[in-house]
Amino acid sequence: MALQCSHLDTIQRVRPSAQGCEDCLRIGSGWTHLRICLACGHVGCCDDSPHRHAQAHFDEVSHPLVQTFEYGESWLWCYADELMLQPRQGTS
Amino acid sequence: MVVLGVAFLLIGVFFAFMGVLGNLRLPDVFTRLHATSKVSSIGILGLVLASAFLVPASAPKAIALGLLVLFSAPVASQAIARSGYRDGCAIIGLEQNDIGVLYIDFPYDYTLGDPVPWEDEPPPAPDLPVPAPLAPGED
Repeated sequence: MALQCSHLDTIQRVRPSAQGCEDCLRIGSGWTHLRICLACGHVGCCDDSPHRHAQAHFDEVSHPLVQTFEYGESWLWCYADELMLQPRQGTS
Repeated sequence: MVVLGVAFLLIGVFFAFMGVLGNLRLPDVFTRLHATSKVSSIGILGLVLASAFLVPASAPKAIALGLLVLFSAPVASQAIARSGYRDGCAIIGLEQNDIGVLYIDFPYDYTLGDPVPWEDEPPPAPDLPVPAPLAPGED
């Protein structure tokens, strides 16, 4: 039952594409929380947002790993494996 | 009193029997724990209530024991299940693990509004094909 993610090699040093959901800013919509794609830096909105642009970005270009772009949060989500990843120091 | 005592006795014995049956029949640690925790909670509770009704002198002790069992048995089962989960015990029939977390060494924490450390670095060069070296006399 060992959890594993086979997409860790897709992580790149990225630059955020925008300081907000890139696609929501384009259409003038709002969002709830932000996610940043770790393959290209696309900033999209979460699944609780009206347009779910982070999920749409994965559906479109298959970049599997996103990271929270929110202050004080520290986790990754792999869309392909549907798996949460957290920093190792948080295991205690 | 006797009728009630016997009724609780039968309830306790029924849950104890079903718990043992579940322990024999169910496929993994967690479902077996689910079954055996019924023995140690509802089963025992039925038996101590039966003893309270059948032997009234033992009622205070039986009720106190029943309350302690009622509170401690689920906690013990939960602790055993959690240690089993952390130890990697198989969950038969699991299709999606909603509470599974993979711990990794984080590359970097991005935060809205914070500049990333490599903001000023030039973007990486695109992967262009490397031209083959010229053979002597080819130039």
